[in-house]
Amino acid sequence: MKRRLDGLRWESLRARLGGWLRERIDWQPLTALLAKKTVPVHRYSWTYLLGGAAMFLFLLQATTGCLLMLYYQPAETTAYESVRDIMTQVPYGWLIRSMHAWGANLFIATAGLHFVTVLWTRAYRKPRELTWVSGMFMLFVALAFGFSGYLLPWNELSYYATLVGTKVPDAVPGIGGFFVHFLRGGEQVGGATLTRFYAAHVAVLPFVLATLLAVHLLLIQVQGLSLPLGMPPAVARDHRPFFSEFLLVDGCLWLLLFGVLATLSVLFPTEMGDKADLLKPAPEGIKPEWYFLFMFKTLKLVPEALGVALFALLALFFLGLPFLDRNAMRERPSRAFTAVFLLVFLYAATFEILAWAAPGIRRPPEALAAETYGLARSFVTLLLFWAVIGFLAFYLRRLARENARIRNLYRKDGR
Amino acid sequence: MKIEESYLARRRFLCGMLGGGAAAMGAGLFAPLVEYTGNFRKAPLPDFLALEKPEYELPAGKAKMLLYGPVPVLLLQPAEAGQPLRAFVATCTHLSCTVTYQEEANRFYCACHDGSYDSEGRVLSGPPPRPLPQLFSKFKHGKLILAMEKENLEKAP
Repeated sequence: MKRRLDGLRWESLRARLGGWLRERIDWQPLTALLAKKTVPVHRYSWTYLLGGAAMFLFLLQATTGCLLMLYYQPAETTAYESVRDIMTQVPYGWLIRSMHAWGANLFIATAGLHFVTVLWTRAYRKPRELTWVSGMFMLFVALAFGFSGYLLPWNELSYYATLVGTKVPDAVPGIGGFFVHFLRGGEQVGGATLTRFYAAHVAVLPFVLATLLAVHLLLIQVQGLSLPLGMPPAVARDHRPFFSEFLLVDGCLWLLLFGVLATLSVLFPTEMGDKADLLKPAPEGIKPEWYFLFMFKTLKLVPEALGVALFALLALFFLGLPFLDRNAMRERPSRAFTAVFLLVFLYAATFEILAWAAPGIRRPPEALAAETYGLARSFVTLLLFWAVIGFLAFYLRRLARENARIRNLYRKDGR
Repeated sequence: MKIEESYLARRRFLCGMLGGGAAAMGAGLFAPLVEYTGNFRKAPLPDFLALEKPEYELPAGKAKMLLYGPVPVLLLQPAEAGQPLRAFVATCTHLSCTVTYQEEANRFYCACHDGSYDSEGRVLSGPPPRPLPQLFSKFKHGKLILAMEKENLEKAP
């Protein structure tokens, strides 16, 4: 029996609103479904944060992307100039664009880390095969986002990266030529390529990713989170409800990621580069973004057809992994697959480092000339910004802990 | 009972702190976002426009459309003899449609809502609330100088 507190203003307001809605929509089945999702707490629980972090970064990309769409012009003649306008004339345009460019790298890195931890804990094993397959396709779409977005500033790097990347399918016998034409919108990389890459980047790929994400999230919601292979269920100290408790912890990480992204954008704004000139030869030392470096290096060392076949094989292997890893399916350790994973990562890491160490394009550093960009002012702003982030993160954790305490209190009471 | 009171108080405090922090973050993000999306920077208009003889020479009763920066301007050589060249901002004062000069009627006409002005820019009929703004003009070394502000006429070389 609770003694009624004076001035339960906010709580009664919330209750009244809830009641008003409940009279119109019976959402009890929905809340029951949402309450089902719990997160086991154990030594490797931090891995459960990565998927949500990747999703947050994608949402951030969508937001900064929509903001960029207000000024970007996807035409061969004006694309570069519109990006320069964003970087130098539009107030805080340099910040939005830099956040978008850095965000792309962070998004792919986080998705990659999520991929690695899922492999390590064998979370793809039965009954989560479809979750894995949808996730793999999302990884491919993320790389496609990176590839298509890279062309949009229409600078030298963009042009040559696209030229090389769209030539790769040619190695496939027979249908290869069609794919090259399809990607380029013709024989050459030009205005037609820019148009369809823009269409893919802002419309087609977001739609595909959203669909795959919905499937991925629905499956996780219904199936719950898996324990690492070999971990007995008793080891999990606690099972936190996802909605409210774990989401608050998620929120902490998302805040930190947002802070890191903004800081990187302020300290290292993206460069303009030189406008793409179809008459100029490829600059010496040109190489793609880091997430394509190992493929780039591979294609430099082996004949193209072999390289393409290798990538196709790797993609198919990882797609079909849950169905190939019979031991994991039966909850038994699959050491052979651990060896394969280590081999693949050793190959990828070696080639990444080799390609990264090779000298890049020699260009004098660019200075950002924008009215709203003042480094001195930015340091103070960054300090204040991080203070607010720290404050919010601190209280988010406090609230999560409070929720856990109340939940445990009721559990002990048996009520 | 005291225990439950403290839980409520603690929860309210935490949520209050979070709300305050979120408001601070929101306010901090709001200002730059408004500036970014609004794009309030003003593109400055050129101080003056200098036209050569072939550009401004017109037979009586004829008009010519040209651009003063981004602004459309109608240059009119009045039909009446002895009248100097006139230049008007060709944007209707009603809802900003671009007007045209009708030679037969000797008037400026806006097709959007049937507004019309006489050859001196005064409203004849229709919804326009104000006359067409007239530019200042001056001849200098055989060139016609047009300006939005009278002082800017002197800035021409």
